[in-house]
Amino acid sequence: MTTDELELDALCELANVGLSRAATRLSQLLEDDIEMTTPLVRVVAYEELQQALQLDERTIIAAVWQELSGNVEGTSMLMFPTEDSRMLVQELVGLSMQEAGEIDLRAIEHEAMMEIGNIIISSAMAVIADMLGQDIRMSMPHYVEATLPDLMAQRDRGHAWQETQVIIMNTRLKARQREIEGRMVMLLSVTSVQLLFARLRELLLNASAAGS
Amino acid sequence: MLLDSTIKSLVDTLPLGVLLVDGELRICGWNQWMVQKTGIPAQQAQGKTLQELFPDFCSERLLSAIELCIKHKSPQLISQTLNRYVIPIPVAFESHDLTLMQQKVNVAPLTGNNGEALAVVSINDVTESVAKSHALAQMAKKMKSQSNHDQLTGVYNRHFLWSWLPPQIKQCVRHGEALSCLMLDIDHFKRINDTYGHDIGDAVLCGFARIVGAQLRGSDILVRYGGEEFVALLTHADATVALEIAHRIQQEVRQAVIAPLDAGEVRCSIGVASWTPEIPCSSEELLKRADRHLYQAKQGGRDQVVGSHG
Repeated sequence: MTTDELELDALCELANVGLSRAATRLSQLLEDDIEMTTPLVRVVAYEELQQALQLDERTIIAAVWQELSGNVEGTSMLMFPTEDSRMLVQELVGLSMQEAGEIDLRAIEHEAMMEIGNIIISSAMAVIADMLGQDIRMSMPHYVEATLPDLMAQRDRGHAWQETQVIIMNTRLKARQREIEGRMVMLLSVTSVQLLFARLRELLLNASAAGS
Repeated sequence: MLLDSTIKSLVDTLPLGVLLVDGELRICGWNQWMVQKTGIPAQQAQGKTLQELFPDFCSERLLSAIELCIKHKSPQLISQTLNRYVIPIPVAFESHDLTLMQQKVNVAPLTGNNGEALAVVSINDVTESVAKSHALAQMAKKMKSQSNHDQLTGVYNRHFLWSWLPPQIKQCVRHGEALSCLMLDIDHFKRINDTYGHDIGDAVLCGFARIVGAQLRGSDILVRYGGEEFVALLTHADATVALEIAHRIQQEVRQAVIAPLDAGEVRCSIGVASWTPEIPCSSEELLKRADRHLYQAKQGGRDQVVGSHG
């Protein structure tokens, strides 16, 4: 599949709009200024995911994902380094180890991360679906802390995914003077990726036609 | 296929709140749980917006979740952690300090009979679990601040002494029992510390506490009173018994090898005071008397027991 730079740029633009909308929603919820940007978008084959993410097999990551169905099939997943996500949630929720008495913190973190991930994924996906005029349905969010292979095994449970391509969007989330690097990863069927890029090309053509 | 009426009664039996909202944010479904918890009958809720039903309160998060759900068919999770609740429902429990029901909420897309986009809001009451975790957190905090043990030696600390002794003396008054207090001090502890260093000093403190503890009975308590000073409280023990135990402790300490110190290098002075029905006193007075005797033992050349019979 050929994906030229223009199309990736356009996708990056879409992701930026989606994530800044997510940031606005998060800012409202957490009553704090939150910024999110997407500096880089790449498309890789599923088999190359681990290498592309530069993740060690044993590194544990925190991930929230929602399954996609409708015109676009696959999974939309948000990944953060576990430690970073923990620190971020503790600050956002206003928890300190002492206050919580060292009890039940993990459950609280999971719940908060799941909602934050849900907001980011659904806001971003809503923009992408709108702009591309696609009907995309989503499942409820799942949250897991695991290594990448375990994560993928969990995602695959009960599904027979077709051969997959992955759109990787690196994101930066800034909150409370803290900045954490995250990745939004869309694991899509090859036909879904083709559909998305076909729609992007149409959009770009229309835009340039309107511009000339 | 289930009939509409069966589905309706099914939803009414669920132990969670279920409400249905249309594209104009008007309520078109309100199950029995919602009726019971909010006191708003289904007919009254029908066709109203949430703002109209709860004018003083409107969760922005809930409205934006419903919007995402209806416009984009995107299910939303609203956690108790980040939101506490979405609809204000008072709860009255004597056992905890929460006045409003804590909720965990899901918003899911649904297509109506005529193809219209709807949102199903389901509300889980998680007040009990939140109250439980608050209670546990408070307990943990309290336990931390009121820990009864000395961290180094593991014996009781002063905090425990003052919670234990006064009621114990009251009991002695009631039953006419005796109670004795030993105040123990390691002789020349500063010299041990200076010569061998603090790590060995700490080991001597631990060893000393172990040797003294071994001479006490099950109902007695040993307290690290400060630095190298310890207090042993002996229940059902008059001056005679207390002096006997004190002498035994002194002997045991003299003979003990507390590495790298040889036997005889660690010695102690002990002041003994007793509470008896004949000579009653307060907790403070009992400790003061023991302390005076300890001072006399130090003045008298250390490595000795001072106390008075009866």
